[in-house]
Amino acid sequence: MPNIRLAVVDVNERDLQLAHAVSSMLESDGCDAMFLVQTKYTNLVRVNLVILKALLDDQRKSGVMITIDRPHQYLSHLLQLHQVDQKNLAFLDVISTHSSDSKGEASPNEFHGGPFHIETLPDFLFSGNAESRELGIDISKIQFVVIDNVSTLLTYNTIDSVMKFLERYGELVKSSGRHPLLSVLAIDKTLHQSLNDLIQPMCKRTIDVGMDMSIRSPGLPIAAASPAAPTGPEMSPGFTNLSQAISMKKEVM
Amino acid sequence: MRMAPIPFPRMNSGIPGLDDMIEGGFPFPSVILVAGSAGAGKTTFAQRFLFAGAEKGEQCLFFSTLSEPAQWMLRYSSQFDFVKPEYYGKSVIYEDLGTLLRSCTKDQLLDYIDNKVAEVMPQRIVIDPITVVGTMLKDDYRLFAFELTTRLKNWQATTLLTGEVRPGEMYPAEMSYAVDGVILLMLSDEGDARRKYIEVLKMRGTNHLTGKQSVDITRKDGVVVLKARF
Repeated sequence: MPNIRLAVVDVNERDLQLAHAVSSMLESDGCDAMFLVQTKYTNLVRVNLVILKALLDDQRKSGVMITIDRPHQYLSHLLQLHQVDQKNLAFLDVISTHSSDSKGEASPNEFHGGPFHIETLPDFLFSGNAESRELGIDISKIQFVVIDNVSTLLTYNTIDSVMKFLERYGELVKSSGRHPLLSVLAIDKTLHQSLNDLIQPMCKRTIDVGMDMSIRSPGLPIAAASPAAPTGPEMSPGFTNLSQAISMKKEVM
Repeated sequence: MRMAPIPFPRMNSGIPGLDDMIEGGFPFPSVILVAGSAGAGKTTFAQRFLFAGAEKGEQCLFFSTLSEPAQWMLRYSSQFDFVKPEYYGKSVIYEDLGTLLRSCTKDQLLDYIDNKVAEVMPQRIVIDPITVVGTMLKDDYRLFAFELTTRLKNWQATTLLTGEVRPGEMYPAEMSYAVDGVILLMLSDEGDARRKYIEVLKMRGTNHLTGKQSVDITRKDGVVVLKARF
């Protein structure tokens, strides 16, 4: 029998640079905001990996990954293979009940509401009930929530329900009285322009990531959209700092 | 408020004339079977699909099975203008499954493919040809087909599986039920000539053109659709 083992690979230099750049931006903007990451749909897997790398390895935060696009086992496998530490990450799998997927062990991380009526998910997440605790989700200790990916919800819900989900989520973040919570949503704005336009005003910053994993436009933190905007430390290839990236954006516009 | 149906992300095929027949490209993610007899252009079709992705900055992964070692396939493919050696080993990764296939089980093969896909994170995958795997796995093939196609889509890639057809067979039936699309590449004896055709038999979620369209295989573009009625 052939010996098939799990390979271990390093996150490549290009992705690593993006992880550090994203990490710096999230850090400089504070840790109690919602961020929107725009990229091509075909690039979402890699971008989500990089975001988790930034949050788990660079910032040493603990958080929840809500998986809607595909069962969580795939992302878990990716993180393991790319040596991203998962011990501070809990998955909330919205789609596994509908995936008929045999990969990995049976998931204990299912959101039993499934992908339909997603507006009930925030109350589940913040309820602190036995079921959520069983999934390893203690909202009082969680520092970030990443959603993979928000536009897939439109397959199962109306756009109204998706917005109710996000609004309810925002309400609970504010009213829970807990420590700051950072939230990251990724979307392909060219495919889902309407949803993008509704979500963008809710977010503190929009980061536009190209297929080459460079930051095409890091956006401006809403509170810092002034000449005194903070200078980002290391930017991805093509930009030396945030100011340069912003001026590049203006030229394009 | 219920909006218009959410459009699938689509991925260009790289085959001149084909995207106009399938609403702009293959659904992403999806698994597409490209079936045909020997010489119909399946491997050329698959290579063109990968290099079209590489041109756009996508990551691509080619699994060869047991019909031909990758080394020989690459030597012949290098004669096409669209094959750019600078992408080899970077944007286009080749993986030979031949050795593994001689002795592995269904689950071992799935795990191996899983690991390689997780390592490369490709947006485009080719397995050429998948029908050889059926010969090796025998009774496990149907379950393998189901699990393979499920996993490949969950990895968020569009995958082309090429399939050899036997004389009198239209397409490999064991795989066709599991895939999202079936494209036939056909050779037809017409008088003294042997002509080539393409037909989109199935493409889920897509209002595709039906019927046979003439194709040619050229050094510049590989497989080219000649007479699509757009």
